[in-house]
Amino acid sequence: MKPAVIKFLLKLPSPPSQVCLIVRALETCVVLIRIRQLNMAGDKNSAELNLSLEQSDDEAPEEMNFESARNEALRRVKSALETAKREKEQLKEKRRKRQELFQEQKVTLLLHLCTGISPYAWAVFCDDDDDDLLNVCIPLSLMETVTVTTAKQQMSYQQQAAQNFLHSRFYGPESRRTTNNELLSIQNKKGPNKQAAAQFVKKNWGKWHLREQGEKSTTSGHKSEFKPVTG
Amino acid sequence: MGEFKVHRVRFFDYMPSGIRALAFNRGTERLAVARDQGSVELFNFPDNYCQEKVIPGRDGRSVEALCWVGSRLFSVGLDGLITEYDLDNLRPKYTVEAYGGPVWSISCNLEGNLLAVGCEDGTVKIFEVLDDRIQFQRNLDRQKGRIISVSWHPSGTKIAAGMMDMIRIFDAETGHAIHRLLVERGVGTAKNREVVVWSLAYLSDNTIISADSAGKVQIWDGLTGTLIRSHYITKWDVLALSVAHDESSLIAGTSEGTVVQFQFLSSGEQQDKEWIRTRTFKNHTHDVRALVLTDIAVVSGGMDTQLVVRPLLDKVEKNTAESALRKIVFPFKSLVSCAKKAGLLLFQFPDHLEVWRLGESEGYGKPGECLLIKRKPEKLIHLKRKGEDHICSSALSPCGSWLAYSTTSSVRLYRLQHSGNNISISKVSKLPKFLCSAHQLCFSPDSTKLFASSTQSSVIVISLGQSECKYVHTLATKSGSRQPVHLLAPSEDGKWLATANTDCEVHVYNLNKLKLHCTVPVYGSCPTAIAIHPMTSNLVIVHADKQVFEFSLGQKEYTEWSRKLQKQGLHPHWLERDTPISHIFFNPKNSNHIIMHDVYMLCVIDQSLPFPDPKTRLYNQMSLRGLPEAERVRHSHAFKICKSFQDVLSVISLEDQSLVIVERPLLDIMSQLPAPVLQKKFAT
Repeated sequence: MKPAVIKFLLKLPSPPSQVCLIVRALETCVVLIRIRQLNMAGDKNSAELNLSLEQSDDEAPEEMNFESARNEALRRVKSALETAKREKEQLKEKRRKRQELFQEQKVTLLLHLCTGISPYAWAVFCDDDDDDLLNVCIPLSLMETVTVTTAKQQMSYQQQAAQNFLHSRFYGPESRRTTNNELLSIQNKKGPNKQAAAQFVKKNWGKWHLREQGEKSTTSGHKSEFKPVTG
Repeated sequence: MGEFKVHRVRFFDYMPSGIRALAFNRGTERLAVARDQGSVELFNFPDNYCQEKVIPGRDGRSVEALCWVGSRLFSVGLDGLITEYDLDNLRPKYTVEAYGGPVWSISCNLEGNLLAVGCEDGTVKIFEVLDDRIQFQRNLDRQKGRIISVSWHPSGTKIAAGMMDMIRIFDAETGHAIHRLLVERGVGTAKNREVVVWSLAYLSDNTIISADSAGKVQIWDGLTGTLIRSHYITKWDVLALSVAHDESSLIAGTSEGTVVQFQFLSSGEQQDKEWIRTRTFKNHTHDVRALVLTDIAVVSGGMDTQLVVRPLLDKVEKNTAESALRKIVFPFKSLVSCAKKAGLLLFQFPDHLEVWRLGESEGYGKPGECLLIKRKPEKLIHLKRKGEDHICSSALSPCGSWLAYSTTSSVRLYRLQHSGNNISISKVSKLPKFLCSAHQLCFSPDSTKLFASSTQSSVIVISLGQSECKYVHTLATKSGSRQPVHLLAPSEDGKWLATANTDCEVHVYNLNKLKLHCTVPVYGSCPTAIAIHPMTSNLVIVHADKQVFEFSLGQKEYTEWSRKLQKQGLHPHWLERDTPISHIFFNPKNSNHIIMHDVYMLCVIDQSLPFPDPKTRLYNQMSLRGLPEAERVRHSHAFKICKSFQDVLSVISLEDQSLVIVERPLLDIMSQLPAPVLQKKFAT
């Protein structure tokens, strides 16, 4: 018998030998069981019934009284419900265990990260009193796959839609905009001291000369984007 | 003069925010400027366009429009709120939900008792302005489509509302729509896109002026609901309009960065007056989103973040300082703090703070040379702020062990521990509860006290200790001023604290006795920098109108030098500079030197030398260098100005007598602005 699936058959009793039983289930549905139609494999009673059927094919089937049939149906419904309940409990247990595992992993990750501070990597601090992450220094060199983000206030969808409207009017596909690089290069070309279009951000400003290594490393003090303009 | 080793710092990635809205108060002559990030700034126009106050923004707060009602300031934004600001305590006073979705515009009637707001849901809502709040009165007839702009007729009987593809005129009393003016869409591909009426103006002769996204300024007859004239002024959007108070001229701002002026003139003797396009100003590189036409100037602001004041030459005297073009680029308030003994810099951003250690150089060189660097500057700490309010002030103690910052809702204090090359930071949890916000923060030179500027022009003193930080005292003025204290200057010996507020008052407190020592006589201009000389204990004050004063704390009167300077008067070129002095400091090697700077120059005032003659050159350093020694002495004067450094945000002197100059080249800012419109220029 399939416990999770109980087929509902609603048919008027035509042959006189069929007994239709109406069993009120625990919830709201009404189950109409035709004893003859149920496949009772693996069940004691069904075994008995089968045996009895096998024993005498010519004889009329054994008559079950109303009491036993009703009890049988009730028992079956009860066991179905119990199995469903057990499965639910099992799933719940599984979920709880998974949650615990994640919590444990989180703690071990934190412990792993708080081992030291690298002198040449700056540390990001999340100023958050309400959490376990009180005043923790997280060295960047150890942060490979962890990303720390602050939960921002959700903007209402209307405000977002309004901003999208503004953005599409200013920067949408029909806005005919160019880049700041282009603007600056035109200024260079048309200015009083005509210069090359490309050279408006001095990348070599602030060249560091490192004494120990004795070599020149070019790092500029600012991070502007720069694309040479052609044509 | 003096020789200084200079740390030139360009790693402060300061990005100003674009200007979203402007509103001018004719009565108090204050300009309110709203930025994209949600902050609101107040400029005092008569006092040399001094940036008086800054109300910090907040994550999620958006400001789309500003409106003055008397001396009260209101704003609306896409968050659906109407906000009134407390201009004494520099924070929003309260917010009112409009319940119409995002709010696009706000306009006040002539009497100043009703506000009309245009909402996303198609309603124009009327609010009554009461003494301490605003109250919803009613809705006008709801329309299909968002209301982008609103304008009251001066009589208060009609309201014009700019929407998508049309303008509606409402009867303000009944709330019904009287006229519908259809606005033509653009040509070509723009025909498929709705045209947005970005701005409107309703004049007293029932003319309506509209500015739309198809690049036109249209003149309508409000009585008949018909179009009089269309002016095509740009291929892009016309984003802003402003009409003069006497309704004789108006200006329109475009996405190209141009501002076009129209004047109500008659083209001939017998002709009627009509709106005729006159001047075009091109002072911006990016979209102009906000405009104000005052009696004498065109004030514009937009996505290139610069506030431009262009005096109209037919209203002011030509070739004077008054007629010069002004571009206000950098904030007046200092965003850089320095731990002078530890060689650390603190940079303030709206959402985080950065602590950097300065690099080290070696060797010596001649003036103008670059020295070799043996250690690069490095970023030590990146501290994200807590909560959604933007950071309004911050400070680093001279020893580098304490860091404090404030938002409008909280003040936070941190302890920095240095161990060799490593640095760690820990929060000080217990602070006095009433210290909830500070407009300005400052540590004492010996790092034992924190001064926080609080309400009612008072300053809270907190003592810092290893175990706990205790409240010591609140230094209050007797003047009853409610304006915030924006400058704090403790003396090196820890005895005095000088404060200045936006009511132009300068007070000096005795920190040993914890009471007011003296008040400097009020001078009509706002102080922009104050400092106490470490040796003479003279207080040096520089005002927004460029005047320099020296006040003796011992004698409680102006010094002899100061009186002489006032008698002679400052050099005209000094007075013509258009950026305020933001820092004053002194030279430990020479007690006659007072060093100060503004955005474009560094000046060493030598009190032992004579004052410059108004007829001679002020900027004479270059010419002096060319003269022989003997000649130099004859031509030298007290104001030695160096212009080698440009776009200077801050100049600080360290304990080892080197200078730190934090520059922010405008080119770097410009390369990170939003995209400008594509303008094809001939031969490029």
